[in-house]
Amino acid sequence: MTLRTAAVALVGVLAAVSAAAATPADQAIAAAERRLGQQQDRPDAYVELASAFMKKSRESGDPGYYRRASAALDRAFALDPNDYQALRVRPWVLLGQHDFRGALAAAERAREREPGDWWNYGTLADAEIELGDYDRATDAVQRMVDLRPGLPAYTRAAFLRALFGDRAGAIDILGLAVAAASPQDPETLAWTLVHLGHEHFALGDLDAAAAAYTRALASFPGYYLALGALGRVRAAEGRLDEAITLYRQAVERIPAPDLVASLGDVLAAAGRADEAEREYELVDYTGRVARATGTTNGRQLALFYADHDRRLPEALRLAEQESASRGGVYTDDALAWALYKNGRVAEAARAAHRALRLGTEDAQLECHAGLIAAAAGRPRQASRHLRRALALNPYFDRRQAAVARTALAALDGAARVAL
Amino acid sequence: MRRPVRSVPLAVCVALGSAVAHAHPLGNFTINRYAALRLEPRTVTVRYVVDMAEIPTFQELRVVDTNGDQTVDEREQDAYVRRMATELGRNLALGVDGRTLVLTLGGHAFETLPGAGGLPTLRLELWYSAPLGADRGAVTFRDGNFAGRPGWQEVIADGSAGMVLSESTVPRVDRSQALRVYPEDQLQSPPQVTEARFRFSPGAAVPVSEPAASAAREGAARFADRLTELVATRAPLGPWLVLTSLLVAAGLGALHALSPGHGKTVVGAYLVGTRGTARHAVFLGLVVTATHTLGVYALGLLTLTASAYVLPERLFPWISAVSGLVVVAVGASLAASRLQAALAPSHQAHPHAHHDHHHEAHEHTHDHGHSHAPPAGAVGWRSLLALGVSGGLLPCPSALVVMLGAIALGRIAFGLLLIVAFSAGLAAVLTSIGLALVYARDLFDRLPLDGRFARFAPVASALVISIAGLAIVIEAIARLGI
Repeated sequence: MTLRTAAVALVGVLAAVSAAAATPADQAIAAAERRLGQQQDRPDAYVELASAFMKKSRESGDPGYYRRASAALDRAFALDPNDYQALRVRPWVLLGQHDFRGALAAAERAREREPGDWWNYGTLADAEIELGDYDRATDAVQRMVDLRPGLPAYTRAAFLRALFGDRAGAIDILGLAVAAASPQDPETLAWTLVHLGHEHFALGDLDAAAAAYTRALASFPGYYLALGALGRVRAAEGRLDEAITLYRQAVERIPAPDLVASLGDVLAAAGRADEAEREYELVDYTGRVARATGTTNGRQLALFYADHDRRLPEALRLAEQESASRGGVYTDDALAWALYKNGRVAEAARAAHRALRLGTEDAQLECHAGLIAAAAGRPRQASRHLRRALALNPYFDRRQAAVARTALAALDGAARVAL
Repeated sequence: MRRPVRSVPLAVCVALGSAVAHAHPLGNFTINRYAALRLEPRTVTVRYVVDMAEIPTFQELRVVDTNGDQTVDEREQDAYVRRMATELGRNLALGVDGRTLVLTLGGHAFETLPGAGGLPTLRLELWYSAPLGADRGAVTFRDGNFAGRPGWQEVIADGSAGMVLSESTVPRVDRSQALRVYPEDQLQSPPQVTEARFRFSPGAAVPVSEPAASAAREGAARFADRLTELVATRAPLGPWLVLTSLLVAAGLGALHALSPGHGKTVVGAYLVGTRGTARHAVFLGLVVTATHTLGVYALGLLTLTASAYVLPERLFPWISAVSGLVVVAVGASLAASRLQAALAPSHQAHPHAHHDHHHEAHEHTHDHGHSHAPPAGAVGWRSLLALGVSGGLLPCPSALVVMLGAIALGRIAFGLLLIVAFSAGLAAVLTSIGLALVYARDLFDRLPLDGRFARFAPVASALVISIAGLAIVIEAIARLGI
């Protein structure tokens, strides 16, 4: 430890009388606030605070911190409208607030200022992925890997590989990302491990998925994303009670609509229909609150309504709203599914086709495409998609997998009759 | 049984307050927690508040409504609050000196307030108390409810009715008015505090009202910030910047000297008692400057090298105690020697007032008498040195921060120079006070005074020095918590 770092650390020690055990994000916020206490006219001090709020938001799963991050950045820009640090962090905040077009413009502006800064290609790629511009996103991630090979570049590269139908490649790259993670940042490591687990799960490898999620929980105990993901594995294995416990633990921390809906599904599978209905009501209420506060988790809610045949017009409205502000194969999938449930099969088929344009290996996309094709009177195409869905990952979703099997059996029966 | 707020049926509440939405500082699934600890002579009370945003409120209200008729009646509400009081109270770990206290529910309130879009939010307030069993001790508190759930998490602690808290890890006043009004400023991050540690003992409560006290603290902190700003500035160091920085540092040192403590009484009493001259006063100032500068350097070096073992804030009371002891010793030795001098009837101590002022020829003798009225040795340079050292021994924390900050920024020489300027400003004030007293005393001397008073005044002043020293020691010991 050099004298300088020791001194920096000590100034912190002197300022903080109480050093309570805090998460890395809490520590980052405290450090930024201490600095602001002394440097109220420095834009970079506000940028530091904004970054700490962003970190806190991801760590806690609480989107309320985006507003704070945004307010901190506004202060930085008020001091200096051209402050580069603020310019490069802005797209990150806008991505959190789901303003993807704004994020793209902001990322492009930051890149024009500093084309050699690896960070800018990360925010650029994120915005382009959300808007469905995958070729540009691939270029940006390649540039990022060239400039600074490391965890942020690897996770994005893996995500794109998976989208383009190479999950095995994605798993390899995520292994690199895990190896590159800093032990000082357990939340980032846990997040990366959860995504590694998702790739294994998508290929139906439940053991590998569970191992990754368990490791994530060991790294960052109580991590709600890992709890929910592990619950999904246990449900797939038929260990419903364990799954219910895990989902409940996750929901106690963050009642995210997709987690609450999954909890309901497991309860329903366990024959506890009344309890399941209570969870579904909660998801419904989340939608009401979201409308009241102007926030959106449109895609999650649209899928929930469509999956459970509730509020179908609302599902379509949300999916269309989402498509207007966001692109990408998963938005197309949600739209396809909502259109199908509302009886607009031809449009649904077009959207489902767009959802599979990258060749993504995803049982949910295949399943939706298959059911839509069946409704559109294309039985061969339908059974191909459904078979593929069940081959990729027979566990992808208890309810939908059952629907897919029934549909497939009907299609096969019809085909035999036709022969 | 205290029940400060009568609970109101859900429907009435929502209808009444629908005009003003209760805005949560964070997301609409947060559960905000608040604990206010109050130490009374025999009891500790915990006011525990839970304020749920819209989504958890929806979940809870379904739990409250046990008969499922979509309304919350008084009976359901009461049953719910009692159950929650037990459940939540179980997770509030309160201990005194390692002994766990059992919390008893004293009162409660259940309220629903309209939130976003008129949707209800739930506010639960619980008052617990527990007997303390001791009139002093160390308290630990931990709120283990809703672990991992995002939200505003605030803990405060204060004493009342003659109980004083010390070494508290939490503030005395809250930022959210018990979760009723959250600060609008988005840049103030929500507190994430779930623990508190402090000591309590009987004592006079701080007389200043809390807002005034915190305003004063903030003011002082702002001054310290100005000093750290000087080293933190990234501007290139031109001669003007250096000069103004040094002036500001000196000014801050002077202000610091005017703050309570710093042995101004001691310096004054000494110079008055020993009949010191301007030369002595200046010497004293130089000693204070040198000691304070070296003290800051030494403590800075110590914190940089031995920070793993010693924390500066732990060290301060010890240094303070040492400095107090030096003052006591100087005072005591002065008092002893002067008492001797005062009791022995000597020509040298011949009262000034008996000189004959009418004789022009006596002008000379007058001067002569003045100069050796106190024995030359009484203004002992050695005790003056000891006094100056004790005055500068306790480094000002903000000066220490400046030096560490300067090192952190790689501006070591500049930082060291600023400390010298700061110390000089500090010494200048002490010296000025000394000089003022020296001249004031000269005026005093011209008044005809009773002989006994003049004879024992130096003894009294020496005693004042000792008492002041003792006060410093006691204060330091109190802070050490021994």
